[in-house]
Amino acid sequence: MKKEPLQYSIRQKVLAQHKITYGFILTLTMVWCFLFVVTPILCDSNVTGKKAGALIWLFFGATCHQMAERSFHLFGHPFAVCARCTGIYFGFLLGTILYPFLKKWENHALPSWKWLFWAALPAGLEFILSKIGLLHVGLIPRSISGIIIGGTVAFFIIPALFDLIKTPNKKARY
Amino acid sequence: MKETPGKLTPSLIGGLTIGVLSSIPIINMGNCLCCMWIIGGGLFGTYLYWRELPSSHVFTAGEGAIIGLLSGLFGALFGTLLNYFFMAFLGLNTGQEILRSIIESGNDLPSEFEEVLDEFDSAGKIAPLFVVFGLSFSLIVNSIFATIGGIIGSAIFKNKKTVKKTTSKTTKKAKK
Repeated sequence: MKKEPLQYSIRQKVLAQHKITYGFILTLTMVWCFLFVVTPILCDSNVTGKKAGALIWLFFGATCHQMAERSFHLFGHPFAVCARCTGIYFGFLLGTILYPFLKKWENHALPSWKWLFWAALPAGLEFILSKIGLLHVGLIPRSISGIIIGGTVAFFIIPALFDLIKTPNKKARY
Repeated sequence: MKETPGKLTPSLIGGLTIGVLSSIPIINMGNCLCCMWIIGGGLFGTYLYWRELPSSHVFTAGEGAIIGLLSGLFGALFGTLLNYFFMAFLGLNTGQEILRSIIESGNDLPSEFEEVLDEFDSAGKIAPLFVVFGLSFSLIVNSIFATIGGIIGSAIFKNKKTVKKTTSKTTKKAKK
């Protein structure tokens, strides 16, 4: 069936909105990752840089325990977040980059919540086993389990934000 | 036709949950686990909204995101107020004490970090800088993570009512 011109233009508008939203999410994620990676570099700079680093470090303190022995180091200073959080955020960035290749822009449907459960399972098991003392987990496995969580979460967040940004005509459906 | 319930009440309750759990000493350390209380508050707000929805209403991820976002913003306000209360009346500032202990424990961090922390803590009194930065940090972090909680909530609760309705109908038919 041939598409009507009005319907076609609405579709184009919606696609453009989705691409802007996607660009915003990608930029925000890159800035977020840049901030916690730049902290150890700032720690190695002059006094002003160190103070800026301290503010970023305090900011991420609201989201992470920031224990140095569980964090990646750069120039002898730890990242502003632990290895698992580093994995989660870089995983989210990876998921965001891969999103247009793996899912259609038009598809707003969220994956089943069971995906989240399976994604969180390795990190959960790791956490429990290390707390019991049965397993000593290094930085790389911690960050890999984080990457799995972050990458999966991206496929929930992006379509939800596409859905949140309303279409120009509410009746417009694909 | 039934109207959809308001988003304000579930968001306020979700925000209050975030604020309380993120402020009570020791319990607030749960946020070190991927912002557990913030994500949980957004999810709780979404649950409260979903519970009041008519079964005919299709619960979208966008609605979950809005409730999560509002819960996060309210949570930042409640959390800052409660932190202020704990500092002013009980002399507790666990967040700052934890940060100080991490810095003092030789965490490979430069000494300038402690100077910045001192600016937030002017001779035991509540520094206005601490309140301003605390609130702005919370507004950013809470709005991001509580939105994630709201979206996860919408993935968990979506169309459950419809599923329940259809299953009850099929069981009734089977009984007949």
